[in-house]
Amino acid sequence: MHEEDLTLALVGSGGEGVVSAGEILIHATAQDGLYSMMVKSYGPQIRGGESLAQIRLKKTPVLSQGDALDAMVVLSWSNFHRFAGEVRLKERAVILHDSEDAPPATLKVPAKARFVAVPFTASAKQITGVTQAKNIVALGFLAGWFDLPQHGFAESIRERFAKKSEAVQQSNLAAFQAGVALAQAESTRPRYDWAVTNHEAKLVLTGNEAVAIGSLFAGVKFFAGYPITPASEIMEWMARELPRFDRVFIQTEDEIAAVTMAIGASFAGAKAMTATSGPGLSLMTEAVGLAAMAELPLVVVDVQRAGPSTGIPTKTTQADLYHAVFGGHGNLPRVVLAPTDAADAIAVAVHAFYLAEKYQLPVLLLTDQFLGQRLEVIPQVDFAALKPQVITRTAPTEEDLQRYHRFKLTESGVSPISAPGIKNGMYTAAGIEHDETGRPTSNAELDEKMTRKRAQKIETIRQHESGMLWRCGDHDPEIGILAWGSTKGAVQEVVARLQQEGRKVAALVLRQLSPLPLAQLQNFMDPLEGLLIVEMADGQFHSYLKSQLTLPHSTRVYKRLGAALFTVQEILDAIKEVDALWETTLQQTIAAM
Amino acid sequence: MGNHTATDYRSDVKPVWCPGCGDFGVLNAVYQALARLQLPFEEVAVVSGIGCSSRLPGYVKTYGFNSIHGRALPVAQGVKLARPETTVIAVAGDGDGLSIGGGHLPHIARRNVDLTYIMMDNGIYGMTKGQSSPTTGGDQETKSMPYGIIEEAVNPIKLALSYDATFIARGFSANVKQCIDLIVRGIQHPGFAFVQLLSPCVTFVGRDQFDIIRELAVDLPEDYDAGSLDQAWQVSNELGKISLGVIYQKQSPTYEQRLQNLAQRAQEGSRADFADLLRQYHVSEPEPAQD
Ligand code: SF4
Repeated sequence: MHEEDLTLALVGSGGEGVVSAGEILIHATAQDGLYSMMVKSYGPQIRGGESLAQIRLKKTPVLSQGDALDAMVVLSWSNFHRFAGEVRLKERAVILHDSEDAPPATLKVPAKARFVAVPFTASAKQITGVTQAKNIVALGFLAGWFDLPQHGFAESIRERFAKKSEAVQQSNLAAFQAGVALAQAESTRPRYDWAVTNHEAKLVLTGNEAVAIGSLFAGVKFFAGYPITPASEIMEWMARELPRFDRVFIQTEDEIAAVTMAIGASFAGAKAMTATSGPGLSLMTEAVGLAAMAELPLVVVDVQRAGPSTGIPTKTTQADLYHAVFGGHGNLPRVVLAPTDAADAIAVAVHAFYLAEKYQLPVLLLTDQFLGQRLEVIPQVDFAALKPQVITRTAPTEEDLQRYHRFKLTESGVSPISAPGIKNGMYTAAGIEHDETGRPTSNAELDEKMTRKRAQKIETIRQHESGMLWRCGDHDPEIGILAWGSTKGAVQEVVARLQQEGRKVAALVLRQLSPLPLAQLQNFMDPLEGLLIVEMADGQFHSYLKSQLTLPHSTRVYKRLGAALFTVQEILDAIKEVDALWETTLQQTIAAM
Repeated sequence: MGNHTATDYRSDVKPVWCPGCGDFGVLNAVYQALARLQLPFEEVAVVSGIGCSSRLPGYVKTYGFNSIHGRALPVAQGVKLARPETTVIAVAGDGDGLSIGGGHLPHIARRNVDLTYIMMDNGIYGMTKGQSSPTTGGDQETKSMPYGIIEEAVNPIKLALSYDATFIARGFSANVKQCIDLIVRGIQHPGFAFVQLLSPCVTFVGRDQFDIIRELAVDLPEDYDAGSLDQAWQVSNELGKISLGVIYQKQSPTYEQRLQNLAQRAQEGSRADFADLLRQYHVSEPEPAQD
């Protein structure tokens, strides 16, 4: 099968509908069996300004957003300069633009790139009477130009305008067809074959939706939240869906209220959560300590955005790692998980509740803007396989309740937890240090014991839980890549490319950052000649690993911030540096012999 | 219904309060109010933040939560909304509830969550040993205001009124009988009940705080109409006396009732199920090629 792999971008000003056009394209082509991923890039302004939707289409699941563009549709050039730095064009890229809107003279493009002027605005006006539908004409043009299967488009366009009149639906369908016709009139366009034979069931969703779906499946009963980009979609999803399931959603006055309400709900026996982004997590951190001290299950999602402070709310990062792993005062046992893609976000959310409820502690789920807001077509998720992780807390036994010790010292660190409504299970939960019954204490010896008990849960998890590792590549690699969270897709492609070149390579992507699965990590690294650590932050992951493990001698870190997403190529280039480092080390060793 | 006496609601934790602290009166009133209502131990949760007063949950043999500074109200709301059968009492001090946690009061009031909020007001930070609080009045000298207060004191009753709380009462911890009555009525009130209990700090304000309040305190007159907002505003503006009793009460749907109505609207007759929900994200089956 010829590997059709297309990366497209639609660029315009806010309100020109580039994102809706992208969404239509994704839903439409998914109906014809194709996989895709769409990332959005937009400024932090409320309306207007720049807007870019980048879509990568394949017959097999899409792992990363695609390095460079095969085609770029520009609906208007007015804000293009704001993206110029983020847009990479392939050597023979095609730039489609409105006939009425000539590209700026300063535009730099590859020598072999080609401009095609299309009457987007004129066609839209002619067919629909208004210029708004130019995004739909452009969509049709793309579909025609790249031979995209067209059965799904009619339905997707109808769905998009479902709330509008039949006439509006019809005129948009006509605008789409006009776009197709315009493209097909061009004889010099490339030819693609998108026919797929394997029509497996698929889901279309964003990472934020995936986290929400996973949480609902895990049985979340209470969600409290406060709006913040790029996490608000999780809250809005909960606002829409939870009442339909007789569960409680509440929008609170601030992040502190959100997390403490969730803690109150958890105390009352409910699976409870909140979702936020970096600045919100900062505000919530005192309360995360409360959950740890009171030993209450709690799930806090952090959809990371560039920081510190307000940073760039619409750009991705992995720079909340320290805060998630180390943030807070005192000895604060917590689990930190990080999903790698949308399908995984469902699984990791389920796992977050599983660990929180089983070990009675706060679990932070670190996703990021890239994962949270990108739209993905993914294979059907096997919910039956996730079912065993949907657990309820074990209530105290009759025997426990005879002389109830809520914070009983146990080998695992986990004690019988009761909740209002349970007879003879009364106790006072507290952020203040307490003895086994919950009675406040400032006794040093007791404090030591109770601190150990809480920390023991982390060791129990490290020893008895899966460690949530994701691995790909060779079994006996010479070179290894270590990454975490949403950089997985790019890393996986890097491994595939290196394997094609005959390299023995493997990647390990951490989905559980705290506690680190130390033994498995060491096993992975031991045979390696060289290691590349990949992170979208300024070295937090590297120094965290260094603090816990001995890294191979030839270790290099590829790190940078997230204004632009990682490309496969830049990681491949970084691998060359690891090779060079290994080479030098080898020669030094030989010279010293 | 059980047959519990007030002492049955006592836990075996001994209060750490200074001898003579006003909080003892409040605690006593809580025991007796619970006994009067004969509430089962396991159906009550007493939730607090941090401060002298916030130690109270540990002294009551019900479920309790001694949380973090200023957050009694959101924790308490979490408990109530997750398990509406629970009788939830939030307790806080004036510093806890009006300073660090002051931002939560308007929001619980506008939600009208059905719980009782007892603010034990001593006009000082006792736990951190004598700094001014939002209700420290007059020209009092405190550890943090050694030259005397230069800010106006907050008037909690006025605040509660302007936030539209549906039940507002004031009592004095030395008058336990009245406190019991106010707490009972607060618990019985469907919705958010704000009960300010003046509770002197003998250590950092001094014993004469009792005498001063005693001198100024008067019960609301027999013909006082707690349904009248005008009269309530008048009481909140009084100078030279402190009126005690139920200052204002009105009926309004609780947050829990509104949540139920909302769920009914969201469900349009039938509760959603997970498979249905997932269908929204499914790509429909591909249609056979038509040409
Ligand atoms: S410091 Fe004041 S408020 Fe605190 S326990 Fe002592 S008397 Fe009561």
